[in-house]
Amino acid sequence: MFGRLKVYIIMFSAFAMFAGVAYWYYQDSQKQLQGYAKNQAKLEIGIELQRKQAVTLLADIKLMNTTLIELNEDFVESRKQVRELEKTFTEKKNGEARDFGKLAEQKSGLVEKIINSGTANVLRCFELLSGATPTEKENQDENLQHCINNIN
Amino acid sequence: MKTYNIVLIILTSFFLASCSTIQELKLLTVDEPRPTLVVPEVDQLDMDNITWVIVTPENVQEVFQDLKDKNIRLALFSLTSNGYQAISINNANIIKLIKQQESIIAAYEQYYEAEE
Repeated sequence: MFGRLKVYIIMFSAFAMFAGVAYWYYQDSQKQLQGYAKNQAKLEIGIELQRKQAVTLLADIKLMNTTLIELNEDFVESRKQVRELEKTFTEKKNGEARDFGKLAEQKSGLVEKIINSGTANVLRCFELLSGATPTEKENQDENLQHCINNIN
Repeated sequence: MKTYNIVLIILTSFFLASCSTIQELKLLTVDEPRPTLVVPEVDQLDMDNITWVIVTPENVQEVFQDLKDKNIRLALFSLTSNGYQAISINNANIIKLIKQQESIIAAYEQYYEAEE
């Protein structure tokens, strides 16, 4: 009787042990599966974030290039104004050399008018660049366009 | 028997302690945007007019007489044609610089405001 009970106890213990191991294995594998699923989700989120970042980065690079191109065009235009003025003093419209001193000596009245008008334009250009509102007439004035366009 | 009870109590307390859990602490961070910098406008320039007078050997007497008539001091601050060219080109370079600076500011605005 007692010997039989002993066998039962051993069998029960062995069964309980197997059940325990199976339970532990099940729990552990579930935990691992959950971990894999979490990692997978994290990876997917990471990939999506990277994709979004790449799109944003590309858009930024595009905008930066556009801005730089526009800036370079503005710089070229501003340098052009100086070169044109230098040319006015040294070269006629037909390409011949101009002696500004000689012209002033020969046609002092005309040159005086031109340089006074030019100086007034330069001073007005400073005012416009500082934020002054151009008048209707100034909006049409070709000589002041480079000062007005820069404000807009 | 007494020792057995003590061991049993200690083991039970260990088992019970293993049932306790610690709730994970969660930190929430919120990005607060940088306040916008509002800068004042520059002072608008109000330039005084300048009148150039070209003095040649032919009109020098006339120019001085005109000054006398207008009761203006007989001192002229003169420039040669080369000096005038230089001052004009210097002014053009200053305008160029202002325009370039304004273009740079506009470029920064365009780039960073588009980001927002």
